[in-house]
Amino acid sequence: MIIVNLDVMMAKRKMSLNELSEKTGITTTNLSILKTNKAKAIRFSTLEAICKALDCQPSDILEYRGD
Amino acid sequence: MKKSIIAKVISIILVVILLVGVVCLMFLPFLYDFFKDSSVEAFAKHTVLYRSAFYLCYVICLFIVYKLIGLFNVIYKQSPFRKEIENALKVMAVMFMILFLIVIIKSIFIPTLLSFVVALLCFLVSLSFYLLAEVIKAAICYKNEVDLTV
Repeated sequence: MIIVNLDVMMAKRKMSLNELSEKTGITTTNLSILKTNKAKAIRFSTLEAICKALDCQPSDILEYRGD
Repeated sequence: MKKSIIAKVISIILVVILLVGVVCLMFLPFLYDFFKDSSVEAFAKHTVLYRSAFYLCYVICLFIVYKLIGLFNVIYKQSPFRKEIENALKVMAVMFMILFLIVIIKSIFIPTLLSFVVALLCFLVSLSFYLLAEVIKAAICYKNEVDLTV
């Protein structure tokens, strides 16, 4: 399964959810869905915005873990 | 979702049917006797069977109308893609299947062409409701996926 490590990256960059929301333009609700691993899919535009705001690579946010 | 004029008329009709139906429930034996008098001799031969089928069908029809009113309210006050809608449609499919069984059992003892037609109609309506419930189920899954795409 795919795990979203958004909370780890946010902690590393010492960034809050509201701050990330302001920088990316993504609502806190959607960021929360991502953070809690409830998301079914993620758009490239969303990933790009998060990577830009957190100054990281998609692989830092997304991780594959075998069942 | 905003109610169209037809939807408003339908919901009023449904409420009226339910109210009239509930009121008539108290006079059901008289209602039965009223129709019995104007019917054929088959009534006299199979009174118990006819009476049971009539009472059961009446109560089931009232329940279906009640469910339809609930369905209309959920669709227009909340969202059509809800688990309640799927469940309500499945319950109605079961109710129509019970109606079909009642009419077909009655038809076995007292075979009339109209009974078979009504039974067939109930069967088809039951299948339609079940199909609709499955469509709603698939739509709910699709909607969840879209909602959870960030």
